[in-house]
Amino acid sequence: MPGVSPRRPRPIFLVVGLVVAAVLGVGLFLTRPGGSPSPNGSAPRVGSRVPAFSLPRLGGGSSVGVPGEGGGGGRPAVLVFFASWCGPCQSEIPALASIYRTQSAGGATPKVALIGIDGSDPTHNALAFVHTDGVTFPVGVDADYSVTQGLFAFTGLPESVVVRGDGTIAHITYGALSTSQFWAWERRLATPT
Amino acid sequence: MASEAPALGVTRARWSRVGPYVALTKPRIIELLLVTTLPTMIVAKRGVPPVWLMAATLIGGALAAGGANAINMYVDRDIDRLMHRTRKRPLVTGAVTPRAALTFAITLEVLAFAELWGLVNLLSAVLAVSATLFYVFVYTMWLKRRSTQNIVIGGAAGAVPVLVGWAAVTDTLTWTPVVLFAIIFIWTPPHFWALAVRYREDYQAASVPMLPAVASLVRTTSEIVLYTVALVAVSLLFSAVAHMGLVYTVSAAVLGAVFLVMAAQLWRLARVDRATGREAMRLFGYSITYLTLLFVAMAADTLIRYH
Repeated sequence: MPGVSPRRPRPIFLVVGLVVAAVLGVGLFLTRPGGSPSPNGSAPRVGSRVPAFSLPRLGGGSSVGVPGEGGGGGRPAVLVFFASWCGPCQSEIPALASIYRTQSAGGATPKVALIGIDGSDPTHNALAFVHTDGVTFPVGVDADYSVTQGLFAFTGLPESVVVRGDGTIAHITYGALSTSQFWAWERRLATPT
Repeated sequence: MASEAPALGVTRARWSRVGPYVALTKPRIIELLLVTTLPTMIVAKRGVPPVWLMAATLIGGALAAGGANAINMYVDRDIDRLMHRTRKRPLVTGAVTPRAALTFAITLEVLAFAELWGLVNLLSAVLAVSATLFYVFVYTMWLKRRSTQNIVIGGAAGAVPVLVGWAAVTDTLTWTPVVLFAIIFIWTPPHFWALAVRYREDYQAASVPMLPAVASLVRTTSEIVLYTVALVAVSLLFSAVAHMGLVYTVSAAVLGAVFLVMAAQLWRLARVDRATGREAMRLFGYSITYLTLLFVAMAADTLIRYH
């Protein structure tokens, strides 16, 4: 060929290898657990134990996590991962908040604990969001995504995790959890097989 | 046509002053960056972000990319003169002085950083400006004239806008935007090498070691095919990572299959020494359609599934 340069193109394998290595490297860096690492080092799935975590409570007070209000020690729990900037959360959270308010009226303890995990959200945005939507269930602040991403390996919001009383994961929803789904899971968890 | 209406004369005079500065920013490349940023924001939010956030991110991204392109033209003004394709660039024709171009470019970068930081967030601002620094120092100044892998590695700069878009919505980065980054990163070599096949004499004249200028067409086109295979694989991997539905997955498979067939055709023609610039430009044109539709498909998929 004309214009041949003294520099020969390097083998494709080197390039592909570099790309794979770079992607893996960046990925590992990004998914590095910021909190306590998940016990088996992989993303939780249906049937596995819910990873334990503890987060500061939005608005102050005792910390929020599992096992705690539920999701172990006998009481089932639904973990709702959300953020004020997330689109579908803006219809999901008010609906769940309304259910929780009804169930906890007069100091009653709902059969299923509802625990919010607010990810990567400036505190004032999160507080305003929770206030507007009438959220009374406990919300943990996952400022650096260490639980949402590091522990649960979620890549988007909202996601929710249904946890049985014995601490095993019954279901994972990618996207908003509808009220009918919530009712269905509450029924199934209340009648253990 | 030949009318000399004063009003038109004024407009023309003003354009002759502004036009070259617009040309410095390579508006067509910016367009492509925005085509990937907006759908990424929709996927990140799983819905349509507020209009002000989309506008602020796109404007900031365009300013940063425009500044990077202008710095690139400043640095490359010597070789742009030697290449037919770039002979009309404002720094070659003298419409803008090098000093004015550099001032303009750096102003754009400062504006981009301030705009993104003030209206969006610090993470997106840092990402956008580091893409510029990478483009200018790693690609333009270091690799472009030295390595046949110049655009392979330099392509990372063009892939950053998806990280900017994701960070603008979520103020954080996860696996999903990293895979999006990988899609654009792997898409860049087949996209750009197709163009460089058409203009290989230009690159030879300027002694820029773009792969088609220094390697045989068979070699270049076979690398195009290999990258396209990797591209299709990563585009399907994204489906799993981001929990995409049928709309995206089927679109990615079909769009990828067409890309593969076209790339393989170019390779076959090259083997019998019949590949021409025209076929290469057809592949180049399709690569743009491919990326645009792939990102439109992921935005559509997201909106359908979460609404």
